[in-house]
This record gives sequence, C-alpha cells and structure tokens, in this order.
Amino acid sequence: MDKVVIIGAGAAGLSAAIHLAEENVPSTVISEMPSGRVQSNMAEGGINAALNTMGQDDTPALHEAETYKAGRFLACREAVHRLTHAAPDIVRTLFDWGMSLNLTETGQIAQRAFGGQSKKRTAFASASTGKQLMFTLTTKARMYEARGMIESRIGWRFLKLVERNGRAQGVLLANTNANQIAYVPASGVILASGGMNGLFGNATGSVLNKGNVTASLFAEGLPLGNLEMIQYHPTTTRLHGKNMLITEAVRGEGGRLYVEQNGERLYFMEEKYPELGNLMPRDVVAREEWYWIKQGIQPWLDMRDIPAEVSKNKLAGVLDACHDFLSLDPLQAPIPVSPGIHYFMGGIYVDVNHRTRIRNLYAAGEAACQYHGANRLGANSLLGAIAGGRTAADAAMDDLHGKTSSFQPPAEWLAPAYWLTGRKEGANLLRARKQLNLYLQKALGMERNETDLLRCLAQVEQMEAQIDGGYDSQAPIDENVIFPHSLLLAKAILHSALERKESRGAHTRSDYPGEREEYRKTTLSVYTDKAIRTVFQPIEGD
Amino acid sequence: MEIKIIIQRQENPDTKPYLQTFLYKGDGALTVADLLAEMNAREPLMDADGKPAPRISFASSCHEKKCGACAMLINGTPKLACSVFLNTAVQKDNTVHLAPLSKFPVIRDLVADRSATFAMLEKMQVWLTRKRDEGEEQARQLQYAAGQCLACGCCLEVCPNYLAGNAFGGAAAMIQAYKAIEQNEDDAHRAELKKQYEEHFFNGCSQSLACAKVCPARLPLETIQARANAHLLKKHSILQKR
Ligand code: SF4
Ligand code: SF4
Ligand code: FES
Repeated sequence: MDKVVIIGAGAAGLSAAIHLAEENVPSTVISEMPSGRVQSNMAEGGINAALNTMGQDDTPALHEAETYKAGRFLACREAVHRLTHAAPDIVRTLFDWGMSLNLTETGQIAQRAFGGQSKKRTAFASASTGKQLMFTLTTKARMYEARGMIESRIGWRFLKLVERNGRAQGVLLANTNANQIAYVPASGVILASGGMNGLFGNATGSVLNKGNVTASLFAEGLPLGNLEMIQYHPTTTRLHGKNMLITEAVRGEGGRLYVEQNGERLYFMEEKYPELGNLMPRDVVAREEWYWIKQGIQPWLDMRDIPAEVSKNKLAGVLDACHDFLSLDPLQAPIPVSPGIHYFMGGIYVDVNHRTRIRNLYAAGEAACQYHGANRLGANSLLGAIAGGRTAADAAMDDLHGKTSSFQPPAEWLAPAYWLTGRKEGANLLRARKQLNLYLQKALGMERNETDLLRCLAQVEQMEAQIDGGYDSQAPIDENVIFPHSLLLAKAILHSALERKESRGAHTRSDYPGEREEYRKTTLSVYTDKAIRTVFQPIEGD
Repeated sequence: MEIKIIIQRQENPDTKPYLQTFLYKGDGALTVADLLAEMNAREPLMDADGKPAPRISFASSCHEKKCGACAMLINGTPKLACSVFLNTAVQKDNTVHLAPLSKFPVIRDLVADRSATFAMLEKMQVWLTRKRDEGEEQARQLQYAAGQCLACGCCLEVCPNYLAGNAFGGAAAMIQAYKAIEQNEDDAHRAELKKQYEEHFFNGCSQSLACAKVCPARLPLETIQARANAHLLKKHSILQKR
C-alpha cells in the first residue's frame, strides 16, 4: 500500500495530509510538536483571496498581477496564476470547515486592506488568523486520524532522507527527548518543514524552524533557489530573545508610521507614497524605515488614529502582546518598530507542481522556493502553504505506484553512535549556532555589500575549520549531524547574495543599487563535488 | 539582583526527580523561557555549588504566548514560561521555583507529556461532519475564543478532577467540544458529540472554575461552559417532551 511521509505539521503539511486523506491515500505526519504549537499558528494578519466581498471589483487576475509585481517578477508566473486562482476556493473551504473568520454585517467573509494590494483582499480572524486556521486544519485532520488515514508522529525530528536510485525511499528520524533513531519507509516524501530561522536566531517565527531539513538536503545535493531573498518585515519589535511581529493588519486598519523630526511627526510613508502610503509592499516600507534607523532615528507605529473599537475587535492580539511583552498600551502610545527577519522566499527548489529534483520528493510552504519571488505579499504565506501542500499532494498522488518502498536501512543506521563515528567530542553547538547567527545577521541585513559578505564567508569557513568534525555530547543527534550542513547552507546564502549584483525586492545591495533585467533569473545553489555552485537559470515558464 | 533558580529535574520518565539550584545575576528583565535558553548556553552550565550540570530540557516554540508549548509550574502555579518575566516571578526570598506540570507524565526535566489531551479530543470525536448554516444559535465570538485555546494544559493542572489518562477531559476538552457541537449540523454526529461531552466533561466537572482563573489566554471558560451545557440540556428537554 502507498504511504506518503510528510515532514512538518504546519499549514502546508496538514493541508497535504488532508488532501491525501480525501483521496484515500494514507500519510504519516512527522513533527517535533503537535500542530497547535508550530509556526503557522503565529501568522496574524490574514489570508489573501479575491473573494470580492467588499464591493471593490476584485479579481484573481488582479491578485495574480499584484503578487507577481510585489515579487519583482522573480516568481514563476504560472505558479502564481494557479495560487491566486485557487485562493477563493481555499478560503471558502476553510470557512466551511468551521474557521472563525471575521464577517461583514451581511454575513459575508470580511476582507481588510494589506500591503502592496489595491483592493481589500485579506480574509482574517481578528489578529490570530494562523491560530484559527490551524485549529480548523487540526480539527479536520483529527477526523482522518481517527479513521486511520493520517498517522501523526509527534516528538520526532528529521535526521536524513534515504534515497536510492534517485528516488526518495523514506526518512530517518531522531527522537526529540531520547537518544533514539527510527526509520519510516515511504512511497513519497513531502517536505513542509518551514523556513531557515535557526540560521539567524532572531526571526519572528518559531524557534523550532532551524532550517535543518533544508540544510541536510542541500548537503546531499538537492538544489535550492533564491536563498538571498529574505523578507524583513517592517514592523517587528525587539524582545530579549528574538523579534516579535506586529501584524501588517495594524496598518491595514489605519495604523501610521512616523519618525520625530524637529519636534514634529513626519509620516514618511504617506509623504513619499501618497497612494498606498503605509501599505506599500514590505520591502519598500522596510527600506524607508532603514533610511531613518541608519541615522539613529526610531520609527514608530501609531495605532491611535484607529478607532479604539476597531482595534479592540480586529487587532486584539496586538493589544495583548504589547501589554504582555512591552508593557505598552498601543491605544495610548506608539510602538517602537524596526525591520526584522520574517520569511524566507527562497528554499528548496521546486517546479510548478512542487516536485523537487529527486523523484518522489516534494516541498511546500516556507521550506519551498515558490510563489513569492523576491518579496512576499503580506497574507500570501498561509495561502501559499495551503495551496502548496495541496499541489504537492496532487503531484505525489500522480507519482504513486501502489506500494511503499521496501528498502530497509542497515541496522547500524538506527544506532545513534553510528552517526558520530570518526568524530571527536568537544564542540559546543549552542554557542556555535549563536556565533553563526551573529555573523549572518550582520552580513545579510537590510543592506548587503561585497565586503561584508566576503568577510562573513571567511568567518563561516573559519567556523567549519574550528568544528572540524567535533561533536557536542549534550546536543541532540540530529543537531550534531546537521549543524555542519547548516554552515554549508549559510555559505550558499552568502554566495547567492554575492552573485546577485543588483537590488531587487528583499535583496538590497548598497554597492549595486537598482534592478537589472539580466538578473531576472532564479538563483540556483547546488552542492556538488564538495563545492557550492551558484548559477542563474531562467525562471520556470519564462 | 541575584536570584536562585530552583529547578525540578528528571532525566527520563523512569528516574526520580531531584532539585537543582542555579544562580542568575542581572536585572531580571527577561522571560523565564529566555532565562532557560540563556542558562543552557552557559559554558559550562554550573549549579549554585559550582558543579557542572546537564543542559535543562524545556519545550518552547513561539516565545510569544501563541503556542502553549512552554507551560510549566512557576512557583507552583501553571504559567507560560515565555510570558512570565523573571523580575515579576522572583519571590521575597529571592528564589524562583520551576517544575514540570504535575498532572502529566514527565518526559524530561520541564517537559511534560500532554499527548493525553489530544488523544481525548480524538476519543470524543471532536470534528465536524458538516457545518450548519451560519445564523441562528451561533455565538461567533465564543467560537473564536474556543479556537484560541493553546492546549497548554494550565487549566488541567489546577482542575481538582483532572488527571491525564482518566475519563474526564477538563476545560481543554470542553472548549473544543463546545465549538464542534455548536457548529455541526443537527445530525447523528452532533448527537454523538453531545454524548461524549456529557461523559467526558459534564458528568465530571464540579464547577469550581479554578480553570478559568489560570487560563493564560484569558478565555471565557465559564461562559463557554454555560453555553455548551445549554446545548446538552436542550437535547434532554426535547427527549423528555417526546
Ligand atoms: S470548573 Fe473546576 S472541575 Fe470543571 S473543568 Fe474547571 S477546574 Fe475542572
Ligand atoms: S483553556 Fe486556557 S488554560 Fe486550558 S488549555 Fe486552553 S489556553 Fe490553556
Ligand atoms: S513558547 Fe509558545 S506559548 Fe510560550
């Protein structure tokens, strides 16, 4: 019998599992924590779909055009077409499954304004859209679990893909709390493991998303795309350990950005971009903020012009978070904000059907490089995760051949000690990762330049030399195996940023300002013959 | 300030728990979750007597009070470690006590096994067959509130009647069952949901509402419970009339 193994229990993973179950294909979902705890729950503002409930003549075609444009023409147009045209059905389906979306007075799905979009197109559940969406998907998945169509294995992390004859055969997993390894055979494997937060350490998302699955597969030769495209969200606020997101919905509902100049408020977005103002695409807003921050001037996000009732009804989560974490009441005082890492547009390279370059291996959600080009529109990520999960499931079903791989890994692979053979104790991977975080934060910030990128490459190479096969006896087995691959992945990102000698979307090079048409290509990173190769290849369908 | 962090530790489910004390120096303007992460990065991590200690296991994901992973006992009260600041948790004797939730099996250190809460939802068949039409009998605000539940287990920790693995599901099960009962169309599945609700919540709840007081998401558990009970009792009254 067929069985699809899905790495990740977030929006993309569950969407794939449910879609498979609807077609009677069983799956196993692997996750360190249950679905209710993964990063998708943190999404706030909404999910885009041209439902046209606000009387503004919105269409999927316009959604498509605006997504493609905000991505600075770097996405696969056909994929964007499919995404945006599937969107209305996706949102209506979620609503039918019980998702508590905000409604208009006439009982239609309400839609709010979001950055880079000329129509009110963002369906939402107050400021907890991700949470409500995951509740809905988890509820649906529970039904299929009870029927034996979905099996969830919680408390396991990805260790390694097992590949034979160019096909994915199954995955090796490491137990989260015990020193234990397991093997799960598969007919197909869908990677829905999220972004690469763990390389930077201060991203707004979950600390579970280390990017280890991506790093491991990169080291095995799987191509990755557009790694340099890292979204800095314009309104994040510093917490002790990491940055916290203040949803774009605040600006969608009328929140304003300003800086103090000579004792007066300068609404810098409204001055410079009279049409979309505070709701320009994220890359633009982040760059405008950065202009002030570089001069030591703090940008503020002001909610005081939003009617208090609206804030309390539609942005309750923001008020709570500011109260709990900043001891601040946004109804009384502005929120200090700055750009912070929020989303990785790049990742595992997939075609329009979410197939990777290994047969029976697919990727979806933030782990994949799809839909968002050089800059993601707000509220397109939950959409991309759900559409991508479905598409990957469809591709997997097309490729099924009626049985699960019969490959059995050698028994020694299941012994944790096997993975440390030939390595010596002595590394501290917690400290090493922190160090890597600091290097990358500095070189891959809002603005990049050749000098900093080259310096960082040298630093990462020095780290590689220092670690030199050493392992950390207190770190989990998967971290010991994959951390060296993370250094490799870090270098691939740096190479991508170095080679893209232009400024496009989220990638700003102070030494190469401006977009250049010859770079309207996918940055492909491949590790072959112990070397990272970075090439620019035509965008699929171009 | 110098604070003594007293942590209940346990190597694995089969070993005995023990207490270990650590020292923290600083202004305390960080959360308990950040503190644990910071302690684990110490090189080497040493207890208050200067003896090397193994890294401390704890669960966390969002660090923003959005996932429920980090629930633990802080000075004996169940709380989310990512949203309790050390300087507010410190007691008069300059100590902070950390321990895993006590109603669940311990996996390691501060990590408790809350899988029973999810198993209970499956057992109670908490899902929808078909959503009923929007409109009558819907309390959309409360349904939304139910969807905000973090499955953190704080309500279960303080509930006098809850113990992981027993028949009583506690508020965490109640809140999810409520949403399904109210949203599902009036079919056999809805009747089954009510039956399950009766068996796994209604019959076991003694209405002390200790749960509502500790819920870190400040969910209106009392109102939700009242509404769920009303749905249940309505079924009975119809039956009685017949
Ligand atoms: S009201 Fe009391 S008995 Fe009922 S669930 Fe809450 S704490 Fe438990
Ligand atoms: S009801 Fe509140 S305390 Fe109970 S699990 Fe949900 S969020 Fe936690
Ligand atoms: S880490 Fe998510 S609630 Fe604390």
